[in-house]
Amino acid sequence: MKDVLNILESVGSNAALRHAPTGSWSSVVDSGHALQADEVLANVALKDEQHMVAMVFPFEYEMLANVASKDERQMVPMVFPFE
Amino acid sequence: MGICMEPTKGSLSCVGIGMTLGSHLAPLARSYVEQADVVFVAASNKWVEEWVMGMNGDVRTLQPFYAEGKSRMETYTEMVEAMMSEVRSGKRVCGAFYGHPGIFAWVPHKAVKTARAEGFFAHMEPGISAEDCLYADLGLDPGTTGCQHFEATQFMVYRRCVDPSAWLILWQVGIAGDRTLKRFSTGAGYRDLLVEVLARTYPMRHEVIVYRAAVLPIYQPRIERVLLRDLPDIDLGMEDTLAVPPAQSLIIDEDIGRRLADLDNREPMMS
Repeated sequence: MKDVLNILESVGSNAALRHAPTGSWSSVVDSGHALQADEVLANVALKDEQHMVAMVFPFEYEMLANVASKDERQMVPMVFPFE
Repeated sequence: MGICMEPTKGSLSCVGIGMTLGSHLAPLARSYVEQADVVFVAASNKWVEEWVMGMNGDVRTLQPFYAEGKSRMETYTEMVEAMMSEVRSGKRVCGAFYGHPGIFAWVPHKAVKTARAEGFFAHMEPGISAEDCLYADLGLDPGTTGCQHFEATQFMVYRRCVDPSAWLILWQVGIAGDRTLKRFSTGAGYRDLLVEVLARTYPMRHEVIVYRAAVLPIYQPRIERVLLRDLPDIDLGMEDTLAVPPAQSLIIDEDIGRRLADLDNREPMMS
């Protein structure tokens, strides 16, 4: 779980990871457990987000698949009450 | 000589954690979260909630207060009370809310007012809101033509003066028309009515934009352009916003223009 948050925070806070589909993912991949960096980068380029995350941490595929599963991970939004 | 220890006085800080995990949390807001005795969190996504939980040893989610069929006012009142209970017991309390804690957010405003009324220090720290993301993602500047914002149900229920030469942003369109404060969505019939209200000002073939900010950095924002007449058929959630572009050009006020010219002549520019 912490690994997933780490990578989400890394992607969210690093301009290179956020937008550049080449090279920059390697540092995340290297610092984590991922292999197959080329495949990760290929999926980034294809914008296959769910597959991309799964490729970064392939050993936790099921849990990571939930990242893209809105039904399971979505919260009740704080809706402003109509007045 | 003994040391006089004053009992700790409680305090409240309501901070915004922004919209996108990892991207928007400002240093000061993060500091409030990390240094609080207890943190209450209202997040947009389970991952965001878990992210905040990693910043402090006592983070409590506000999610359990929600329930199907329960009035949101009851839910929100309970949330405020939960936070205030810890403030009254002398804790430094932080409320961490997604987006901006003061925009379309009843709980933080009420909690800050309540704390101050009871003599406690209370502070609100802004965050990057869905509105901020909308301007960036849609590439619109409210300074260009002006921009009017309404809560969708309020927009429907009350007669509002809409300026069709400015942008119109309707928030919470996914529950447009819900006056019960209990629904988590409203159906096509409600949106039919919303379209009817909008059609008083805009042509049915006017293009509108459904927008949703990205809450995870691996998501893309939702930017879906549809004709106004097709809006009832679109899948809309509670997080979606409707952006309506201007439908007519700005109209010059000739009289004010002349009077400004007179002033220009009478009051030359200072060097």
